[in-house]
Parts: sequence; structure tokens; C-alpha cells
Amino acid sequence: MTGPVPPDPVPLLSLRGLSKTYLRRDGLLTRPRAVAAARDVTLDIARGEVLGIVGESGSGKSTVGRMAMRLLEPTAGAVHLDGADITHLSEQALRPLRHKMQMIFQDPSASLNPRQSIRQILTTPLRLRGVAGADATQEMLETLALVGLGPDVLGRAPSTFSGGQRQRLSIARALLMKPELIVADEAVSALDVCVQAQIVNLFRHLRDRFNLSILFIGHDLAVVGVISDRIAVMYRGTLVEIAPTEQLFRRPRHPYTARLLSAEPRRGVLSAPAPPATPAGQHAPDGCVFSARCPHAADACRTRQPALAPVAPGHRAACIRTDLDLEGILPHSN
Amino acid sequence: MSGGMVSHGVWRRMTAGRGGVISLLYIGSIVFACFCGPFLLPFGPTSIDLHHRFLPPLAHGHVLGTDEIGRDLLARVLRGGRVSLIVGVVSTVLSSLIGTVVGIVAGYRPGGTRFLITTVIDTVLCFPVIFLLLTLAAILHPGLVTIVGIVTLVSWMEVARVAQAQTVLVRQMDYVTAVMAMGAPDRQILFREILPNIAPAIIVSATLNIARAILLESYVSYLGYGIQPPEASWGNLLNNAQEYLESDPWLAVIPGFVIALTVAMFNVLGAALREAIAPGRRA
Repeated sequence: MTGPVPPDPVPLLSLRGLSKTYLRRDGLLTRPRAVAAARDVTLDIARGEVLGIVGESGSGKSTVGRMAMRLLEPTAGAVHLDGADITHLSEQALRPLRHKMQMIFQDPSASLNPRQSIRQILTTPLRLRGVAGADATQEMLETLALVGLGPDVLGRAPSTFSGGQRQRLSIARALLMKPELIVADEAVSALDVCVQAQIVNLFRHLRDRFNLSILFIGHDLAVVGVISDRIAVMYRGTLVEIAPTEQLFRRPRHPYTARLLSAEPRRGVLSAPAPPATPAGQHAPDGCVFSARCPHAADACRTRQPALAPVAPGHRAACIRTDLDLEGILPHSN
Repeated sequence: MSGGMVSHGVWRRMTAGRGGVISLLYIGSIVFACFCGPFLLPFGPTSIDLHHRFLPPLAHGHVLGTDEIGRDLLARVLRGGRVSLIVGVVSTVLSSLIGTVVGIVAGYRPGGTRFLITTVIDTVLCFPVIFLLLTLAAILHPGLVTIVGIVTLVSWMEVARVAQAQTVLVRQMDYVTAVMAMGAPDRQILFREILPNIAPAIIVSATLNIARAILLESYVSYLGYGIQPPEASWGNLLNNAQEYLESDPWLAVIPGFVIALTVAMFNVLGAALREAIAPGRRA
């Protein structure tokens, strides 16, 4: 068994109790209602680690990614980068640190400026790092080769590339900042299966080569599982389980994870979000977020949201039914 | 480069439609006629000929006839067109610059700055334009510079609104977020990432603004506060002509028709541009 990543004394990125709450007003005269996009999310990413975040759309996984990047202000909680608290740094103070974290987006058609050539797009990060002239061209070509593209792309416009090629270009642009962490927000979700595999392999290659940390956000447990060392499962803004990938697949400890694993038609794929047993927002306000859809819900589940608690080494789950023996998709070891 | 490819496509789509071709031909001709025409005519716009007053069109070599002191109407329409077009274009360029800067800042900076700017825009838009124009024109010394300034002052808001709305849209595109995440300074994000993507919408809005500016100049000059005789503009030709509306209607009909046609053609051009820049989408 490949053991979990050895605990790092100072994780590269550490999210501490991150929450994002939006105020929503349903009517002109009603009181605004607080809607939590993410609630008390605590995560660490070690150097060279790929941490997957899975969840259906609206589960808050992208919100967490953007808060980690400081592209979205958290309502509460803290973001530590390299041991330093960057939660309250001004944009000015943050600028010199920004290069450490780069992001890859879901929609390949929106991630490259349509009015710039590839050369212009790739020059932007180099210029910000103060690399110019022959050095810049050299580095640009090396990076393009790394993501599997040739020098002929430089003069072309983004609109002339396929989705997979555009993701490669986005990755090249991110790499040119020499990041330590890449947040890949549904970076392969818009691609077809074959291209997905290529891009996932590319991420894996980059991790191995540069000891990059990757926060790999997705809704497809099978795809996220292929690349991630550990997986965090989110449901409606709450982190419900986090474990080393193999352990999560072998023995899920949260009923929602088990449900994801057993989802049809392909194992581990959320083809379409399953219709909730009760309308969204109808679960007991103080109870467990999953209580309304959970087949194992007990009375206690409707009164309070359990905290994320250790259930095995490196494995934490937010479920009080520790007695359950949930079915995974890998055979039980031992 | 990509920019060249993009504008090439725009030109092709512009010239593929009837509206684009007709408006481009018309605007090209009127600009040529107004700026070169006066030199080709045998009559100057201010040369008085008291023996040939109120000639109807086509009499004695005066293609459009003559006015109350025998000045050639065609020469005056072309000369006036020069003033009207200059006012329209120069004030549009100025107001587009102001509007773009104001709008882009408002769109990029949510919160207090945006609130302040939108409030100012809404306030200025609340003023009845004609009265504002007349008040300003009455206080200030009339002339070309004054009228350009006044028209600019009352027409930057439209572009500002377009620029703001577009900036809000483009700002949240992933390619802008990506550059923000690199720690790029605001100036770079605004001018290299956002501006080129909102420029098409601003150009369309500016084209439509030329039509409005020409109309505004005509208003003010018609009411006597704009370009002063003997210098001609389309507006003061109408002002002049109103006394002779019954006896010599062509003095009013011809400049009126030219104003209407020119304004309409700039509108057609704006619509064709919008269609060519973003086919099937609102610009």
C-alpha cells in the first residue's frame, strides 16, 4: 500500500476554517438570508502533493479554490501560504506572492484573451517576472514543448485551437510564472474523455518534474481519483470527508462519498446530480448537510452538523455514524 | 497578428451587407464633397452676388440655387457640412475618450468609485440636453471650439455606460482572472486585457454618437447659439432659411435633407459595425 504523503511540518498551502457567505434577498422587503457557499473548510496541501476536491456543482469546491488563490475574499477563516498568513494582505502586498499560485480554468474558450496572439499571451507572465528578449523566447519555447506544443503556435490566435490545446496553452501560461501551486478548477471537465486523459497525464508529469502542488477540483471522482494523492469530498459547502485516494475508494466513511462511488452509469462519475430527496435547502437547518438525502440518517443527524473527525490515519470524515461499513469500489485490504 | 485577422473579418462582414456598403459609400462621398468640394466649385461659400438672389436650384449654374444675398447654396451646404462633420467627429473622439476612461474605471472598481461615477452619469443624463446646451452656449462665446466642447460635455455618458457595462462583463472572464492571479498591475489589466476586448463596443457606440453630435450641433446653430454667420453650418443654414420657408422652401429643405440623411447614414453604419463586429450578438 502506498502510504499517505508524510506529514509536512509546514504545508505549502493551508486553509483554516474558510467560509464564504453570500447575503441573498428573496424579496424587496424580506430580510436578507445568509447563503453559505463554503463553510468552515480546513485543508492542507503539501509540496508536491495533488489534492483533489470533488463535489457536485454548487458544492462550493470552486469557491474554495478561488478563496485559496485570494481571488475571492473569504467571510471567515484564513489562508496560509508557505506558513505566512495571506488572508488579510492588501492586493498590493499580495502581488509579489501571487506568482506562487496559478490557476487553470474550466472553460477553454474563455481562458485565453481572444484579442491577443499566443506570443502576447505567453509574454505577459514573462514580462511580470522581468524576463525579456532571447531569454523570454527560449523559456516560452521550452514551456510550450513541455505541454506538448510546437513553436508554430506563437503567431496564432486562441480561436484557432481546440479545447485540449487551449488547456495546454493555459497550463503553459501558468507555468511561465514558475508557480509552486496550481489550482486546476474543473480543468478537464469541458474536454472529451480522451483529451481529459492527456491533460491529466500532463498534470501528473508536471507534478513529478517540478514537485508542483496541485489542487485538482472536479466533479468526476474517477478522473480526480486518477491524479490525486488525497481527495476531499464536498457537499453543499461543507467538507464531509478527506482521505488518501486509495483509502477513500476502498473504504469511504461518509455516506455521501459512498454514494458518489456507487453512482451510475460509470462508477464514480456523477453524470447528473441525483434529484434530492427533499428540495434543496430543506434539510434541517442545524442538522448534517447530507441528512435529507442520507439513507443512514439517525435522529441525531438532524440536530447538528458533525465536525470533521479522524476515523483512520490521515482519514477524516464528518459523520456520526462511524459504525457504518460503507461499500467502496476497491476490495478491502487487511 | 490576431488583431489584423480580426479587423479583416470585420471589414469583410461590413462590406458584405447592403447597409454597410451604402453607409460607407455615402459617408465617404459626403466627407470628400465637404472637404474637397468647395475648391472645385466656381462659387465661394461667402461670395455675395446681389444680382442672383433666391435663384431656384439649377438656375444660372447654381446647382442648388442661391440664398437671400446670392450665395451659392451648394457651396454653403458643403462648407457647413465641413463644420458639422468636424464638430461631430472631434466631439465624438473627445467624448469617447472621456467616456471610456470613466466607464472602464467604474466597471473595474466596484463599490464606492463605481457608485460615485454612476451617480454622476445619471445626474448628467437627467439634465435636459437642449437646455443645458443653450445655457452653456449663451454664457460662452460662440464658435467652433465652444460648440465642440459643449457637445462633448453632454455626450460622454453614453460611451461611459457602454464601457462600464462591457468592463464588468470582460473583467470576470477567465483570461482576465488569470492575469490578475499573476499579480499584474491594474494598469496592465485595464489596458492590455480589458480595453482591446471592449473597444469594438465602444467603436459602435462612438459611431452612433457621431450622428447625435451632428444633430446637437444643428440644434444649437439653428437656434442661433452655435456657429455664427457668415460661417456656415448645417444648423445655421436652417436658421437662415426659416424666414423664406414659404417663398423659397429649398433653402430649408436641402440642408434639412442633408442633415437627416447624414445622421441616418451614421446610424446605419453603427448598426452595420455592430453586426460585423459581433455577428448575432449584441455588441
